[in-house]
Amino acid sequence: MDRRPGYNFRFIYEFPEYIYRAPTKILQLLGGQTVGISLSPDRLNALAPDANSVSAAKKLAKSKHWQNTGQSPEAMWGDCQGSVLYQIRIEVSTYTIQCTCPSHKQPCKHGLALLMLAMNEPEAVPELEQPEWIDKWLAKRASNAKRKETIQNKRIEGEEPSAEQLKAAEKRLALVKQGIEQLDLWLSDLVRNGLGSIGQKSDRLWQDEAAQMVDAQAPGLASRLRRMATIPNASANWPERLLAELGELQLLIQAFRHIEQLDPALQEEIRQMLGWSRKETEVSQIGERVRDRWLFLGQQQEQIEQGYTQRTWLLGRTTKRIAMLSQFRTAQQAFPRAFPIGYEANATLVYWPGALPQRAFVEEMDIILSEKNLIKAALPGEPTIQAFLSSMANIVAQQPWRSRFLCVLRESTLFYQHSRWWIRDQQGQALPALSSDAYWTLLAISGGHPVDVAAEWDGETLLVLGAKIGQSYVLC
Amino acid sequence: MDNLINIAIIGTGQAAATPFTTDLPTDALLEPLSAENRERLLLLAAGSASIYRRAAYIPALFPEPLPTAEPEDQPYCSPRIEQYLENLLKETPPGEVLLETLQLMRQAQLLLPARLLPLALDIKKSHAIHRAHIYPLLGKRGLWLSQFQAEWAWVQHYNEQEIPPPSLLKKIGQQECENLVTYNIEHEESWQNLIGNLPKPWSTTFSNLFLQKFGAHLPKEKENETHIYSYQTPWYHTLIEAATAIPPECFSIALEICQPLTIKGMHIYEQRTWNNQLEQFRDIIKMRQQIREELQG
Repeated sequence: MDRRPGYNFRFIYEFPEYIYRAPTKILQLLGGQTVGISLSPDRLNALAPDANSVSAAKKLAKSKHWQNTGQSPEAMWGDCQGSVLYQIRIEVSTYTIQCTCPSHKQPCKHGLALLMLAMNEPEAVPELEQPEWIDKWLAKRASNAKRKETIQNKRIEGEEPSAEQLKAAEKRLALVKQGIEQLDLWLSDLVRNGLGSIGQKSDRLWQDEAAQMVDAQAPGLASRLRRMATIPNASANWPERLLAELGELQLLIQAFRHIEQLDPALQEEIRQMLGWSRKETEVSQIGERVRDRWLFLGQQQEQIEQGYTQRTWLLGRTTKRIAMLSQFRTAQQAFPRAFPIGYEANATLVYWPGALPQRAFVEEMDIILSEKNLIKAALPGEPTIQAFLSSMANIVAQQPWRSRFLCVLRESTLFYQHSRWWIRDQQGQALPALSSDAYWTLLAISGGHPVDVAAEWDGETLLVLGAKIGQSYVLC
Repeated sequence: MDNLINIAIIGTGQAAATPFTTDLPTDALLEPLSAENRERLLLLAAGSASIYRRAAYIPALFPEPLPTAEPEDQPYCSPRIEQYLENLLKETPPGEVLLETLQLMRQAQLLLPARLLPLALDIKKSHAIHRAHIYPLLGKRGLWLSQFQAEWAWVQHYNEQEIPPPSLLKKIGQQECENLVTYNIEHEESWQNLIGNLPKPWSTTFSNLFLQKFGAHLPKEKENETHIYSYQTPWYHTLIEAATAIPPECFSIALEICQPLTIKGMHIYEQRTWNNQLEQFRDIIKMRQQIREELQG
C-alpha cells in the first residue's frame, strides 16, 4: 500500500444495498475483494468546479458517448466523444482527473461524466487490466510524489538546519515582527478615527493591509484581515462584530510580543495563526497519532477570496476526540480528497501540534463501504447543552482564538420557533441554528422527537451537519 | 460592551477619555496594562470581552414541551418510488407524471415519505390539482409539519370538496379537443400549441394516432437528403409532452416506434439531436412503467 500520508485510503465495498441517502459506489475488484470509492451525488457535486459542469457532465454520462472505457483498483479511463475524441484518466484514490480537452475547468465535464457513468452504469466501465498509458501515468505520479516526499523528509530529518536555513528563518522572523508593529499602528489609527466611517470605505482598506501582511510573510494575519473586509454593512450589528474581530487580532499581536512567556503548545498555535504553516509531511513526523473508529459527521464549505475551504468534522467513537480535516481548492478545482461522510471508519489521524489539537489529516484509513459501517449507533456526544458549553469553555481557556467547535448533542430536538431554528436538549436549554431549508427535511423525518445532532458551533449559532434519526444518520 | 462599541464607532480621537469598562470579569485583566495607548487598550478590552462571551455563552430556555408528530396508520411508499417522487416534485412546474404517481399511491394506500413532505407542501397554490392529489398522502406527519410555515397553512384549512376531482376536469370535452387536434394534424394546420392544452392522459385512440403519425414523420434511410433542421417540427417539440400524456396501454407501441435512429448518411448533429429527444421520451415511458409496476404490484 502506498504510505504517503493521506493517500492510502482503502475503500472496500462488500455488497450492494439500496439506501436512498447512501453513497453510490464505483466498484472495483482487488485480489478477490471488491473495492470501490464512495461517491454520493452531493459529493460528486462538491468535486465539480461549478453547477454548469455537473449538468454538462450529466449529458455526457451515457454509454453512447464513451468508448475504450475501463477501470482497475487504481484507475478509471475512457475516451469521450465530444467535438473531437478526448482521453480521460482518473486516479481513484485521490479523484485526480486528467483529460485531453482544452477546458480550463478542473475537473472538466468529461472527467465528471466518467465518474457518473461508472456510478450509474457500472457495466459501461468494465473491470479491465490497466492499459500501458495508464500504467505509465500512475507510475509517474507515484514517482513524483515519492520525490517530493523524500525532499520534504530530508528537510525535516536533517539533524541541524543549515546556516542558510537559519539565516532565512531569522530574516522571516524579523519581517514578521516588523509587519506586526506596522499592523499594530494601523489598528490604532483605525480605532482613533472610529469604525463608524468604515462602512463608507471600499474594501481596499483591508486588502491593502492584507497585502502588507503577505509581504511581511504573515499570511495568517492577511487572511484574518480579508475575512474582516466582509463584516462592514453585512449585518445590523456589524460594528460589534468588527470590534470583536479587531480586538482578538490585537490580542494575537500582544500574545506574539510575549510569546516566550507562553506554554510551548500555545506558542505553536500562535505561530500557525500568524502563518508559520506546517505541511502534512512535517506534521506526520511530530504530530500526535490517534487511532480510533472515526465518525465522519459532515462537511462545511466556505467561500473565501481565492477559492473555497472545506472543513470535515470527525468524532472518535472510543476516544471521543474531535478532529477537523481542512482542505482548500481554487474556484476551478476540486478538493484534493473525498471522505466517506455518514460512515464510520477505522483510521489513524495525525494532529497538527498545538495547545488543544483539532486540525488533523488522515494518515491511514480502512473502510468497508457497507451498510454495517453507516453511522447507526448513538453518537458519542454530550448529554446536555450545558455539558457542551462547559467543554467549549475549557477549549477557549486553552486556545482563546478558536472560534469553531464540533457540537454533538444526544437526545436533542430540532425545532422552529420565533422565525428561527433551535436545538433544544432534554433540560429545555436551546442554542440557535442558522437557517437552512435542509432542516425542514430533518424536522419532517424526526417528527419533532429527540435525535442525536452533530453541528458546527461558531460561538453564536449552530450549523447542523447531520442527525441520527432512528437507525439512520441523515446528512444536511 | 456597549460602552466600547460607542467609543469605537466615534473613534478614540473624538470620544471623551472615559475608562473602557465592559462590566465583565475581563476588565480586571486590563488594569496592569493601563500604560498602553488608549486605542490598544480599547481593542484589548474588546478582544478579551469577545473571548469571554464565547466561553460563557448563555443558552436560551424553552421549558415547555414541543409538539411531536403522531405515528402513522398507513405505510410509506418504497425507496424506489421515493426517488422518482423526489425528482418529480422538484420539477417546475409540477408535471403530469407526478399526478399519475400520486393517484397510484392513493390507490395503493401509501403515504408520502417524511423526507419529501417539505417538497410536497411547497407546491404552489396555482397547482391546485397537484395539491388535491398531495393532501390525502400527507398523513399525520404532513399535517403536523404544515403548522410550522405560513406557506404550508393551506393544509390546515384544506377542504377536499372545494376542488373537483381531477378525473372530472380531465374528461370535460376531451374527445372534442382531441378531434380538433387530429383534424389539424391531418390537414397540416397548426397543432403544436393545441396539443399542449389537451387533457391528460390522452385517449388510446388519439395516442395511437399520434404515435403512428410520429413514426411516419421520423427521418428514414431513404431520405438521405434530409437537411439538418428536420427536427424543427411540431413532432420533435411535442414528443416529451406525449411521453407524459399517452396512457399505459400505449407504452409498448411507443417504445417500439421511438427507437434510436441509426441512419447512414444522416448528419451527425441531426441524428444526435433526434436521439437525445427519443431517449428522453423512452426514459419517461420507462419510468412510468416502473412506477406502475411497483405501485400496482
